[in-house]
Amino acid sequence: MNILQTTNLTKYYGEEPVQVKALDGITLAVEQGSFTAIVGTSGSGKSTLLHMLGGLDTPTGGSVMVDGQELCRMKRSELTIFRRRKIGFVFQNYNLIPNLTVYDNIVLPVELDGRSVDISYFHEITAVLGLSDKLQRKPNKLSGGQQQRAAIARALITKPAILLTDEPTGNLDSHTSQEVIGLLQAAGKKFHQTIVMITHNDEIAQIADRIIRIEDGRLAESRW
Amino acid sequence: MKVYKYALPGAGILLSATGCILAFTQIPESVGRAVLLIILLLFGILDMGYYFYFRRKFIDFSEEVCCHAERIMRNEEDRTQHNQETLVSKVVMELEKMDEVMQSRLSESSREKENLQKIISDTAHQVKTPLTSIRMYHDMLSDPDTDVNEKERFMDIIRQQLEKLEFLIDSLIKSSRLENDMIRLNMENSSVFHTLEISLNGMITKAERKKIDITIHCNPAVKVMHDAKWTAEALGNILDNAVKYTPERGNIRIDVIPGEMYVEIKIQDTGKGIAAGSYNDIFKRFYREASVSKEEGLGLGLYISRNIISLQGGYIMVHSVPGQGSSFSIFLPNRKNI
Repeated sequence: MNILQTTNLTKYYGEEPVQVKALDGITLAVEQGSFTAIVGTSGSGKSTLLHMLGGLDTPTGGSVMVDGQELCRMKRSELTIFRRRKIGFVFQNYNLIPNLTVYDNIVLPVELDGRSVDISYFHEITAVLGLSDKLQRKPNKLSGGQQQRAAIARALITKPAILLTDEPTGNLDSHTSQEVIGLLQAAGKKFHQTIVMITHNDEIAQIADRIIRIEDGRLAESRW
Repeated sequence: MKVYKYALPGAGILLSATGCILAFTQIPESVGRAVLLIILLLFGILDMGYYFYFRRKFIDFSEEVCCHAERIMRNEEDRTQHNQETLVSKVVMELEKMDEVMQSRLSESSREKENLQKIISDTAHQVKTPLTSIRMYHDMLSDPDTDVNEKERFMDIIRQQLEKLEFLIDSLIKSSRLENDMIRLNMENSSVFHTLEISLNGMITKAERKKIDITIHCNPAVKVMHDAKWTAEALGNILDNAVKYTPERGNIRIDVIPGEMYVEIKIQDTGKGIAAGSYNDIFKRFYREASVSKEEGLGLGLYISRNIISLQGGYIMVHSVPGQGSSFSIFLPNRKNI
C-alpha cells in the first residue's frame, strides 16, 4: 500500500530564461511502514521536495498524494488540519518549546487538536526513545540527542501517516547521530511508522530500507 | 433528484390524506366514495411512478458501477469520479482502492517468487563449483596411471571441497532459519568482553598468519543483554572480513563503547575499504564486490550478521574510506532503558 505518492512533481522559480528548476518531474511511491532516505547534496532539491511532501509549499505542477488524499486539492484550512493530524515533522533544530517540559512538548500536537492523549501509547513511545525518566525536565536540561529524541516522540504521538525528517542528526556529533538514527529506525519498526528522511549524509542514510538519490531536481537510480 | 425522492411520495400521501379527510367530512356519501376511489387511484399511480422511477435509478446506478469496475479491470484511468458527492463516486473510489491493494499484493508475491528463484539459482551455482571439482579429482583418482603422491594430493583437494560444501550448506540453513525466525535466542545480561573472546577464537590464527595486529579496548565490566553465542558469530563474520580484506601487517582495533541507549562494538580495520554507495549492498545475500572475487567466501557473512543483530533489537552501521579502512559499529540495546 503506497502511503505516499508523487506524480511528476515540479517546482520552478522565476520565468525563462532565468528559471530555476528546483524539482523537475519527480515521481516516487513510498510503501507504508518503510523507512526511505532521499539523499542529495546541497542544492539538489531535497529540502524543496520535503516541503512539497509535507504540504508546506505548493508545487508548480504535478501532485502529491498522502494517505490517498491529494494535497494540492485542499484549501488552506483543510491542509493545516491534515498536516496536524497526518504528517509528523522532525527538523534538524529539534524545535522544542523551551518553557514546556518534555511531557508537554511531546503531547502538544494532540492537545492543539483538542483531543486527549493516549497515555499507554505515550508511554510506549517514550520507553523506546529512552525518555521515560526525563519527562519533567525542560529542554535546556537535555543533551542534543535527547532533545531530538523528544522531537521524534512529538512527531509520533499523533500516529501520522508519514513522518518527514530533514537532516535529523545535522546538529549532533557522530556517535549521538548513530544512536538517534538507530532509535528512529527502531521506533519506526515498532509502530509501523512510515518514515521519509532527507539527508546529504550517506552514513546515516544506510539505516533506511531504501535509498533514493536526488540531483538537480531529478531522481537518480533508486537503490534497495 | 432529491426533490423527486421526497416530493413524489410526499405528494401522494398528502393527496390521499386530504382526499380521505374531505371524503369523510365534507362530501355526501356516494360522491364521497367516488372521490375517495379517485384519490386512491391517483395515489396508486403516483406510487407506481415512484417505484418505476427508483427502479430505473438503481439499474442505472448498478450499470454505471459495473461499467467503472470493467474499466478498472482494463486498467483505464478516469479521474472524473474522484471526490464527488455522488454514490457512484463513493463506490468507484472504494473499488479503485481495492484494485490498488490487490495489485500491490500481486507485485509483492511476484517479488517474493523472483527472490526465491534468485536464491535457488545462486545456491545451485555455489554448489556446482565444488561438486565439479570433486568429480574431476575423483575421476583422476580412479585412473590407475596416477601415482601415489598425486593421489594423496587429490584426496586432500577433495576433502577441502567437501568442507566447502558443508560450510555452504550450513550457512544457507543458518541464514534461512534466521530469516524465518526459527532461531530461539538465549538472551542474558552478560559480559561483552567474553563474547568478543569467543568471536576472536575463530580468526586469531588467520590474523597471526597475516601479521595483523589486533587491539581491544573494552572495560570487562560492560555487560549487555544479548545471546552470546549468536552475537559472537555475528562479530566473528565481521572480524573474518576484516582479516580477509586487510593487507599483511595491518591493524584491527576493537572498541566497546557503552552509550545511553545502546552499547557500541566498533571494529576498525586498515583494509581496502568500501565505497559509500555500497554500504547497503554489502549486507545483501551472496553479494561480493567485484574486486574480491578471488578471495574465499560466499557473501553470506554480513547478511547473517545483520540478521542476528536485528533479531536482538540492534543494528549495524558502516563507515569507510576506500584505500584506508572500514569501521563496523554494532549497536546492541541497553535493556535497562526499555
